[in-house]
Amino acid sequence: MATRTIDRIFAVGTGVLGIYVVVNALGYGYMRGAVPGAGFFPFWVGIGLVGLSIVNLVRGVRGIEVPDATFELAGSLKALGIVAATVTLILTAPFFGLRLGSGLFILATAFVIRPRWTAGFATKIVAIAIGFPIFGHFLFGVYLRVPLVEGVFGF
Amino acid sequence: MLDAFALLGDGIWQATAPDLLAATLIGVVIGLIVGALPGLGPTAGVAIMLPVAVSFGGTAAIAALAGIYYGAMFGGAVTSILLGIPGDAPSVMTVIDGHALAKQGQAGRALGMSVYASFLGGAVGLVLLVALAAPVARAALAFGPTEMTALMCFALSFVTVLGGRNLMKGFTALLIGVWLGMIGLDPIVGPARYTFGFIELFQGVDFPIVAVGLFGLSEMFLSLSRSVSGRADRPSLRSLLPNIPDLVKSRWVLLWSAVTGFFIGVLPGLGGTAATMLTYAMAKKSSRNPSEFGTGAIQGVAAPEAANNGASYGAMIPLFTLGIPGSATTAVLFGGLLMIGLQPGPRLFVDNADFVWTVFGTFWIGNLMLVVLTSLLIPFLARIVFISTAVLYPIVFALVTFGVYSINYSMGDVTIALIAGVVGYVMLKLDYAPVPLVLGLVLGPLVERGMRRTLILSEGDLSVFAERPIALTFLLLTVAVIAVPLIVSRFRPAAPSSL
Repeated sequence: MATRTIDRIFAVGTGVLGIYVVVNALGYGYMRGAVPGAGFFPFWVGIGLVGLSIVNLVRGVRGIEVPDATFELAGSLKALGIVAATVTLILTAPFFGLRLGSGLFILATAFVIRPRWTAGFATKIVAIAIGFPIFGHFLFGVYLRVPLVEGVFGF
Repeated sequence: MLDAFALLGDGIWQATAPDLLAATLIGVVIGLIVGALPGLGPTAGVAIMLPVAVSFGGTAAIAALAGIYYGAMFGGAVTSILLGIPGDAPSVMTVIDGHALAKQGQAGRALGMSVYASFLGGAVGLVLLVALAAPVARAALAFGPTEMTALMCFALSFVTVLGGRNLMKGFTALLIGVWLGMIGLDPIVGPARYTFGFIELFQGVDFPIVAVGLFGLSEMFLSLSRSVSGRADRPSLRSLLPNIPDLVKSRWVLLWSAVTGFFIGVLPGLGGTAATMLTYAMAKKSSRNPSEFGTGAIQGVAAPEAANNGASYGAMIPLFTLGIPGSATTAVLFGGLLMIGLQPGPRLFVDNADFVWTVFGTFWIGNLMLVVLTSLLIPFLARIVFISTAVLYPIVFALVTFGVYSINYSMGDVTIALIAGVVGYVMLKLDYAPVPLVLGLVLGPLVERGMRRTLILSEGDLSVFAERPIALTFLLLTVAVIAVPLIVSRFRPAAPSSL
């Protein structure tokens, strides 16, 4: 999808957000007698968002100050891959625990960034995948006394 | 003023406590590494380490975070000189003459000058910070809620400087941030706003979680498509020792670059990058051999390095004394102060004076540490640039996960950070600068509270802003800061649109 299309979608999205903010603001109470209520500030923020989204959309359609950057496929796929790996870690943390999960996460993320591994790289990554959970356990679990998520394996 | 230096002396003594020394050391080492790595700037470094540093508690947390900030100023010069790649934005100008010297086999001379220029810039910046912070804070104590509200509006207006090249998108990001800051229980009347039914959001959106995603994760997503290759010479430790003739030749350049950098750093929205550009230009103009600049002039390294370190301490003035973060990094530091229960602003010097002077003491010690550490670690830093992202980033992402989880012991926070990272990535691609979003998130609630309190006290009468001269001045400045760039851009010839 072209950057300009995404730009327009984002502008529409901020407009929808603005409308949502305004509608809810009226429900919180615009004024309480002579002083602003809880909805006063959000109301004007929402109006601002709607107005600016229209400006951004029109400018996007007219090609004024369009973004130079592109969503190049390789970089975007890597970012998505890391997002997927993180979501998997979040969802599987109750099963694997954060320590073991982080080790698996490191392996997955390294694979996303560099799918082809040499023997040297594989050795390095496996060592990090084993070492980091130990480091994380001592820094967060022991020194900072954070109750890390434990999985079915007891760690 | 002598009182201030006496307080600093006491603060330096307090800063020699083992836990503070350790926190400062951790901060400056991480800052050095972050500064040297292209793709991770000081803002990303401070944001990523925010959850971990806050766990240190109190003064140690700010000592570590600030150490990352000014440590990155030292580290950025390493890749600039050795590789010709700026490690961060403020070290762009150092590339010009620093890398030219490296290509002539004088990398050690350039690196040595960058280390000592950074130290001198930091030392001058610290002296000015100590001399000016308390008087500015005392003046600001005269501000009531009306003046503070107007001041916060003025701070928000700097989105015109911090909002990137697209002002409309900058304002959009600002309003998104203001909205995010409104999520949670209304502080005055009480209804829950925009919580989507989640009790966890009653206390609002945790700033560090958003900051980690917006600045840390998004930058890493962006840099996944970049790569650094090649090799760099590793200068010997001996070559890094002070070159006395160079220091003598550059003494005035070092002094006024540091002072200029400091005062530019005080101004919200300008910061280290602007300071380096201005002082480089001034050094070239005042040089007896201006044609030497660009081909390896040692003063072309001295000026920007002294300036960017002076600017990093100048940025602490509005942050600590007025509660105004003037840059992305100080906005994250602002969040760090809030997380440890401190409200940046003039009352900080009254209610938590010990904290302030001890933190300034850690700055002094950190600056000294950096001279030694940078010299010792330059060979290591020169290699670290070439660490593959496939090795480095999994570690950083895993560290972020642990760090964000440790804030509230919730994997839900990791989800929020991830969403903020994706949104930040998209925003950066689409020219929506993330700094205004953070400004809105941090300052928006303060503006709303101040405005509503002012109107409650004045029974809804808006003219109170016009009746108080300081508030009126700030509001007029706000209008000017917003209106002038808009008017200028309206009359500027339109740039050709890219197809």
